[in-house]
Amino acid sequence: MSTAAHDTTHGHGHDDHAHDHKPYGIMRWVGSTNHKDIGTMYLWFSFTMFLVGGVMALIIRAELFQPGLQIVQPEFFNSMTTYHGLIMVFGAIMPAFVGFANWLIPMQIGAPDMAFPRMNNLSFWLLPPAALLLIAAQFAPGGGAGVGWTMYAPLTTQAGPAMDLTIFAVHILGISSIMGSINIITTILNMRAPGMTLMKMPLFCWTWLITAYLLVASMPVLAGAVTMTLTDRHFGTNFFNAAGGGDPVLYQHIFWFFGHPEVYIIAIPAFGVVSQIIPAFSRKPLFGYASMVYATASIAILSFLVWAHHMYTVGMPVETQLYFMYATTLIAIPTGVKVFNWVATMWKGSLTFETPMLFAIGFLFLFTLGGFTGLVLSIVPVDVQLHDTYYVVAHFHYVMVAGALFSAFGGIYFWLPKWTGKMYDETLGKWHFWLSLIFFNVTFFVQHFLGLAGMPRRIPDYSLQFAEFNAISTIGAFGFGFSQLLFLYIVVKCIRSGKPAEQRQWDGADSLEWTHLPSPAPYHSFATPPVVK
Amino acid sequence: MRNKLAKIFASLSNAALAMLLMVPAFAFAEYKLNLQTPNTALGQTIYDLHTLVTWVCVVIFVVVFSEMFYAIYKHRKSVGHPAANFHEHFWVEVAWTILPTLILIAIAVPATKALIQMRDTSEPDMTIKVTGHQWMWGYDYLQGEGEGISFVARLSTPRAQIQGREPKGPNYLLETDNHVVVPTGKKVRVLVTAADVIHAWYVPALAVKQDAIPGFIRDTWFKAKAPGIYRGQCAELCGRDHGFMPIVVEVMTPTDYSAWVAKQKAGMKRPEAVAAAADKAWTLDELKAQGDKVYAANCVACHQATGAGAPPAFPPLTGSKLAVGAKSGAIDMVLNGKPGTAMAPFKHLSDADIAGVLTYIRNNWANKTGDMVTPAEVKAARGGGAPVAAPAAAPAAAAPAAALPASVYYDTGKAVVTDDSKKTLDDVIAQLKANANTKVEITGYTDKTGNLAQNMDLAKDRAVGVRDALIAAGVAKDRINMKPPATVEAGGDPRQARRVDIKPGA
Repeated sequence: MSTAAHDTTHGHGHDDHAHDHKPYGIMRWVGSTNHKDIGTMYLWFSFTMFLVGGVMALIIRAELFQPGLQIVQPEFFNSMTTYHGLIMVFGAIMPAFVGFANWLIPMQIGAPDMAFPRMNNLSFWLLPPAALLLIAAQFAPGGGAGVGWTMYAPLTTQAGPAMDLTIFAVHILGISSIMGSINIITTILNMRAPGMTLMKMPLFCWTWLITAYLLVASMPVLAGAVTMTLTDRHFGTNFFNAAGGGDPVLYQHIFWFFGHPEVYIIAIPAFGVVSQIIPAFSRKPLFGYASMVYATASIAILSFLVWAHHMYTVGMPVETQLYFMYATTLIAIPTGVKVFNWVATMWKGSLTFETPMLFAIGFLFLFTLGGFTGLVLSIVPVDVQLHDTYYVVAHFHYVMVAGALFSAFGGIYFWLPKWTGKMYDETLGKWHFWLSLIFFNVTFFVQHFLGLAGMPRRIPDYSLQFAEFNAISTIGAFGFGFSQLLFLYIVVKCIRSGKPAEQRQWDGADSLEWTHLPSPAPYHSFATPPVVK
Repeated sequence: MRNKLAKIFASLSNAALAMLLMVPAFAFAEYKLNLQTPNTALGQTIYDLHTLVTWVCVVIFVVVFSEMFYAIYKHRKSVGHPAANFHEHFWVEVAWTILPTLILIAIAVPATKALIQMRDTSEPDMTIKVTGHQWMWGYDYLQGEGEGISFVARLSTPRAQIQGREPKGPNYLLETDNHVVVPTGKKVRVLVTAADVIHAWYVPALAVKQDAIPGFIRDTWFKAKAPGIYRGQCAELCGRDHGFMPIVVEVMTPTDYSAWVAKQKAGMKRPEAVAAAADKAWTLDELKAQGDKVYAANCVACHQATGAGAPPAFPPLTGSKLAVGAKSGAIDMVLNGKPGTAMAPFKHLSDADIAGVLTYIRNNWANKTGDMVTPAEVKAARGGGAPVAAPAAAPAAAAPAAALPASVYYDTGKAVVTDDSKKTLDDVIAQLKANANTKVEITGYTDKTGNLAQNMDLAKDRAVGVRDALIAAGVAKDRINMKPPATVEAGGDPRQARRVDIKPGA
């Protein structure tokens, strides 16, 4: 934060960092304990999964282009919706932000690496086997489990062996997340440079500290829920079987006790990234830093108290519904504070609109829209009309795609110069933004109308009054999908032949990685901690 | 795999082409932008509440983002705006915390009122129980006018429309064989439950959505204003045909409703058509033809048109031991289902329908039993009185129940029936005579000691001996199915290696 600018301007040939001893070949990656290498692996893994999940999304949208069953059979369609969700949430978005955390937290707090480098390696290398299990599930007898990413019992009891592969994958992903979180918490609490008090940390570090606590508290709950499903399937328990004294709704309570914090596990690091980008391009300090920290913490705490708003239609006592409705609407207050703070940061700044800033503004605009539909959905009587319709699909894609994904894109463009020492192609970056923005809205805005008119989600075929908007949505989805290949091209082009980047590529960026480290950041940084005034 | 991928790619490119061709068509399409027009007072309340909340959001959105766009326009570096350095303002921050709180409270008041009204299911004029099945809805009128009416409603859109072999009708996927009929102006309490997995009963125009949870009953209610037909769908993912279990509610004036109830009751008292169907002397081909229709309406979604099912959740019927085995097992499966699986009870179908579908299943694909299941047999299995059309079934009860399966044992190296075994054989013959439809499979056994070819010949000779004994006793040759000789593992009871098994079979 408020540190004196380091007088080094060019990374290349900087004597202190000229002798990076990095291992070469495949073992550099397999055995890596370096936070930057592991961060890179997280990011590439997440992009690969993003493409896999994206292909699934396009299969879904292609089938929904017209009424009737044209391309896939219903069971395969169900499998696609299930694994699209699981892969995007656990394989693409979450690892992307863990990748950011790995790269940035040590650099932003002036630490040499993560607290537990070997555990860091293991947290990453658990991901590929889990992803393989999810993909292998498609080829299990009977095909993938078409149960939805929420895996509601007792449908899961009926599913084939793919369900067991999926459950095991979720277990592995959970272990990976918990280890990653322990690492992040320990690093932030113990390894800050002298003078880097908690309230001086860049907001990105704060958001990850809070997110890591959410993960540690909620992932075991998910592991419990899927383990109960597993024992119901194979070992004669009846947790979710009413005939045996269980309750199918119990699964939903447990799942959403994890699931709602999960929403914020995805959103909060995205808030962090945006809170770095907006001040940098406004050339003005973040407005209301302290209130940002408190708002984030409030959102995190509230996230454990509102889970049943995903289940308004299961039939709860009216008093319970009232409680969950009031508690849920409360989240609008800290979220509103954050949005106001970001806008106030831009107010009377000296704004420029490079690609990271465009994605941050896109995030701000569309995430807020997703937040407002969330407020609409929090009102029980209205939700009863909209629950399990495309309105909900539109809502959470505004939050997850235009929210988290746009923030991740913005973050990648923002830090790519620091990571690679090279600049991406600004013109192409802007193309990527505008194509993504337009096609995203073409895909998902019309889904609000589908939901309002009563189209249920997770159906492979629909009645004729939904035809037009579905066709539009499919066109948007294909446009959005192909636009992401442009992103891949931009990143590869940057790595291969980008122009050299400055140490402080963005003049408004003031965290330690910009002020103290050259571009590209050396393999080992802050072996001696900087002094933060 | 390769083929499948190629097929998907081909379809995707077709879809891309179709997309381009479709674009001009949008201009003529009718776009529905809001909630369906409500047909209940509560629905209207919810509609208005949604409008209110949406407008509040729109206003806040416009205010906040006009500030942002103003800043984007005016406070940019390219127009030379210098950056200010403020980063907090106590009163502004207090204001934008308090103001949203007040707005939320203002919304919460009407929301609370609507919610309390929505959940008040007390003092209904009539009660209907809805049961979600994979993939159809069962309806039981429990209380009020129409009490006792009970039926099942299934998707009535032909599969040819779904697969694009026929043009799609106006109510594509939103039509059922039976409608839920209710009167206007009456508070209808709906009890919702499910038989297998979670479903959700959702009719947008009546502002009703309630999850159907197996093992639990939840309730909701509506009071329809105007007569008409209101369509909805299952809203909770319930497996393969989640998208194919619509709900059609037909709202009638009270007079029309009474007439409908009277008609239903009359139909229940004198199910003439049903009785006639049961008493009719069916031929195998007639039953198969009937079964074909029943199969297409009830079974095809899980067990597939090919009978191959979708294992493991939906087992194949073709080549299934249960399907072609003893009729009683097959009838029991269809009547009562298999608890804990997707196989629902189909008791609600008529005897003739069940007999037809079983005959169809037992004589279709790879299944060739050549026999038929008669409506009378189904009726008997229901425990609904003495069997009428199967006189042969009466002595069946008296015949030794456990005669089949039977094992006939031989002395080492011999193919002559012993005295002990002769009694077993007599019991089998008695049972076969009593049940003219029962067929048997005959298998000779041997072990792996000594010369295998010789052993096999001996096993075959013994099996042929049993067959000849049956034929000599008057059992028709086509009721006997000879199986290839089999070997048993060494180390067990040596008698097992010199036996012939007679099992009920195809």
